[in-house]
Amino acid sequence: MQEELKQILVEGLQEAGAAATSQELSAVRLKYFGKKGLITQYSRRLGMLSPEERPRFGKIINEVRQELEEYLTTREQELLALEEQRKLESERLDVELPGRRPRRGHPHPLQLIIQEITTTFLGMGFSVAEGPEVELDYYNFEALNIPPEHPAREMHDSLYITDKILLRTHTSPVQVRTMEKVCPQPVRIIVPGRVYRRDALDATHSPIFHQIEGLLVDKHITFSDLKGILTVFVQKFFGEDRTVRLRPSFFPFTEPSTEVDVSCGCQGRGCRICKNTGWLEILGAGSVHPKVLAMANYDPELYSGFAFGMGVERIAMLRYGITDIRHFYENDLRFLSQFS
Amino acid sequence: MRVSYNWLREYVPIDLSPAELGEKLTMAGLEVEEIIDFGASYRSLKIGKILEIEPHPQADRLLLCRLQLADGEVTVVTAAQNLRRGDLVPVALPGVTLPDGRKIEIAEFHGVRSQGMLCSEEELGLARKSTGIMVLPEGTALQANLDTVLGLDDHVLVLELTPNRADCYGMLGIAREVAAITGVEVKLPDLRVEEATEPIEEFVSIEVQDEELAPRYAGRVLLDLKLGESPLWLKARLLAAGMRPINNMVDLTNYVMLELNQPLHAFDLQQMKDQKVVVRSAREKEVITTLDDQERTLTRGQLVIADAVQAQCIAGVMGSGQSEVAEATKTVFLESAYFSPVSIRRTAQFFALRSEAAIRFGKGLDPETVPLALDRVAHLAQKLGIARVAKGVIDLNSRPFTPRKIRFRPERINGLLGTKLDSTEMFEIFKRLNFKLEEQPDGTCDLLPPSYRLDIEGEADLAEEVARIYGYDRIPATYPAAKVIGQLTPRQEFTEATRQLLLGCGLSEIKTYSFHGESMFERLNIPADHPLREAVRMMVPLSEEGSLMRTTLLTGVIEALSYNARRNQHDLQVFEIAHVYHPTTADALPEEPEHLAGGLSGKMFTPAWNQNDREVDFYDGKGLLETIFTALRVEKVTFRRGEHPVLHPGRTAILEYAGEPLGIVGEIHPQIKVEFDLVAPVVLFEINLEKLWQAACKEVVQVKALPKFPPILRDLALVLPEKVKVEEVMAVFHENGQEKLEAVQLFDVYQGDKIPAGYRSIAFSLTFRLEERTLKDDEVNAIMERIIEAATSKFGAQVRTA
Repeated sequence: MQEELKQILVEGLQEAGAAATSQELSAVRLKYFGKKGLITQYSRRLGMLSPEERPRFGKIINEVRQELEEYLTTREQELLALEEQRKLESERLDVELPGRRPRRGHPHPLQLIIQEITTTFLGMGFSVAEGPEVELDYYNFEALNIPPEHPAREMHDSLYITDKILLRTHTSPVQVRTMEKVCPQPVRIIVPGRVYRRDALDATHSPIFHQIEGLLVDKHITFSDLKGILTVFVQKFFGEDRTVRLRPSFFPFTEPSTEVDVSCGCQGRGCRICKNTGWLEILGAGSVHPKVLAMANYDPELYSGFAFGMGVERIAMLRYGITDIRHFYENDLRFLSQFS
Repeated sequence: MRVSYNWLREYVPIDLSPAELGEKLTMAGLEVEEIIDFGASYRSLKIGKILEIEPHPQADRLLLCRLQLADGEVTVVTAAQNLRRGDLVPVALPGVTLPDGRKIEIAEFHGVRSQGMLCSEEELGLARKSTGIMVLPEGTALQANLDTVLGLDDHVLVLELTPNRADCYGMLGIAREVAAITGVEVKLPDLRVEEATEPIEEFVSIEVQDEELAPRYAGRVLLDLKLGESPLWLKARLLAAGMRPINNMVDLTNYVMLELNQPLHAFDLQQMKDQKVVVRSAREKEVITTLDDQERTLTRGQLVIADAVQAQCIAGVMGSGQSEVAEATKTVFLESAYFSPVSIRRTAQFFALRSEAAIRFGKGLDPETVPLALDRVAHLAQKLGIARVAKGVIDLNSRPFTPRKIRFRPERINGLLGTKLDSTEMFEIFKRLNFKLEEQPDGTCDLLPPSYRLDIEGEADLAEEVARIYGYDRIPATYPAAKVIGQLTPRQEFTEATRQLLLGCGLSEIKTYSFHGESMFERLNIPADHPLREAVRMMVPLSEEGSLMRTTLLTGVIEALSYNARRNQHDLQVFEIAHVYHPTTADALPEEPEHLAGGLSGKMFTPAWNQNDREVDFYDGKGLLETIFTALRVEKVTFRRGEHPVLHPGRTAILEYAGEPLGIVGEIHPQIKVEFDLVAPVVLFEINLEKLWQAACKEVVQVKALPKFPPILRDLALVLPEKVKVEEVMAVFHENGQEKLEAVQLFDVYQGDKIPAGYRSIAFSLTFRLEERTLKDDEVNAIMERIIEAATSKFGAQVRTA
């Protein structure tokens, strides 16, 4: 009997070792420890032995049982781990295949520029003012010190709706409207918006384009303040390494007036973009003309200010290397999808 | 304005190179666009000495010239007959481009190869017509540069002048600027005239009838004119300035115009009937044949210079052929005047004549230069031996010049500029600019700008002059602190939030034109009396496509989809946020509400190997809007069946909030789809953002406590007649569920062979829950029974079992 048990143990260990899956292993466990299991049967037969033999065989059976069970447990853990591993292996994906992408919207480059500039000026205490695109002649010209004989007021340069109403040719009328509204409070605004000119469409001209206007009016505002604010803006927008250059210019509604240039990315080496000048013209600006202040009811002896304006398309073209203004309005997906 | 560097240095002997000068001018407000090496095209030509002239073996009229160049010999074929052995001539070798743009190549003439070309003055742009080859002065070195020999070794600074600086359209004006910038003194042109004994009145009488249009009119008479070619130096100046030499008389008037910025006109006095000069308004329908051989019909109000009978010149714009100075001219009436700039501008524009004179008159000139320009022409005419000068000047000046007086307050100028200049430093600047200082009895000071600075009107102009000459670059940069927070208004933030939501939902932003043509309405099938056709229309449109302001953004969206579809790009989702324009009353401005519009086209999801490839339909559009509305906290928007000309009549919903229309969503009308070459399904929507903003909840969110008790879930599928609205069914659920029914979700709609025609099966998932305790199954069962009962009796619904 002892021999038989040893034989059973050897076979049991062998079978458990040979089991390839946890299922096979369960069958082995059943074969030895099930109700009719080989070892179970021996345990039952224990009762039939004499009291003297019982403890000895009981011990042997226990030893065999314990050894086999221990091995089965170990083996089971091994197999489960192996099976888990196989399962994971079978679930392997080709992670190099493209993912399932949610659709992504692309911002319009003009909006990106408007947003960036707006954010910068919000940070400097400016708010955003708006005004009508279909505008009174008075706000578009007269209140901006543009006399009736000025060439811009001719039918061939502007788009008129009636004798007194036209599509605004710049965002500057919003300057006047805002001043009229808040006078004598100080003004600190920017005005992004659409403007219209009687220009035929080509690579560099569009009858519709966008401007961003700025206006600051308060007591004791100087030309040097204009220089300060615009320098902060230009270096923030174009880079701290860029320099700003102001040179005298002329606009009817500012005096003194200035063009604001930023040094070109070519760093003066000369390139196609700056036409070898090393400078890019980006802004027109100046101190608000005393006549404009007076027409909006500010006393020019007490109040002063400055205004500036820039073309959004031009800035977008410079920043993104766009050579044809028409791209902005065609909305070709291949163009738009380059922006994010 | 083209400024000759050499010429300029005659007035201001500066040591600056052309580039340095250009930089200084730009920084003083006279922007230099370009600096042209004017001599370059002449420098590429060679100087040749004729060694031998032989007849061409095959052609009678041609000659062969053997030439000695600085570095070798060449043989050139020529037809010119004016050459002799030893003459020095300009030679253009193959590969060279002539000043007129012509390129020289090796050419063969009857079997003889010409190794270049001998040049005439005409070919060098120095004469209008010439008969032979130009012969250079004896003793000219073969090594010399032709531009130096001809006095054309010059640089031209091309200036982009601002409209306020009309005074800088003359060399003297530029010279004055340079003087002010550099501190060098200006050398004024010589104006001395030795007059003949015959007084001017013997030859001409002047009558100014319209002093409004001609406030100052002056003249001189030149006698015994010897018309001919101008000397080379004079031609060189004109060429550098971009004008073609014509004859010595015309060239002189042009020269002085370029120099003093005062246009002059020379009349052949013999051609002026009764030797009278009448300055008057044109008669209605009066006809004049101008220099360019065009017959032009004048209208009243246009200023003319006439003789006793007829108009001989459109004042300041263009003369007539009849009184033009010609070979036979002996006596010249030389006109110098100040005309009303507005009148000249209008007339020039009316005839579309942009002559150099008209441009200058139109900008406004210095009335005090009028007589000086006459003296200058007279001086030069004498110096060149062209004519004698009759005694005296007739100068009819109805508006004598009085200088403006502007209070000089240095502290105020510092206050405007943010500088700390002292008054002497400032006054030094004004002195350089030829302003006069006048002390007033009350101790204050006035500054008097010179007569040519018509642009200086007030204190701000003084500030600019100080800043300009002191240097914009030397003005400090200061930062005015903000006393307020910069921020968007809640309304502006709402638009920004909308934009970001749409981008996040996968739509790309587009920008389209705010105007379109009438034909767009036709293409969109918009009926003649439809409100969308009530548009703001332009008086004189740019083109048909730009004749009216849009009343809907859908035009732009459809065009953008169409543009892409024609490029085989059908899967895209776009939106635009912009204004539309609705007319109000005739004299008032239109309304310009901000709208949002968009279009979904083609595949709903980004096409990929593992992606659902279904195409968009109505519910994608509606669902998008529902998501956006939730995010923007707009609740209670209803979608009702509606119609819109560009949308599918059965697949269109009108959005309403509190009974007010808010917008529209629907699938595109099949006809419009065809019209715009669209292939894939398209869903369009448009929302009035102003109204959406009004509908949005603005209060701060107050959080509801999270439920403590479990819910009971029940699904219910009802077979309902088609016309029963889901909304009504939902209402029945809530009526019976009351506070116990927490939520209802519609999860399936089915129509097909498993249910009768005219019916649809709609499946709902109902969530029951109470805030204060756990619900019992029995309670929910009772509610469900009541619901079913009500749905059955009210709609004829039947419960559908699986």
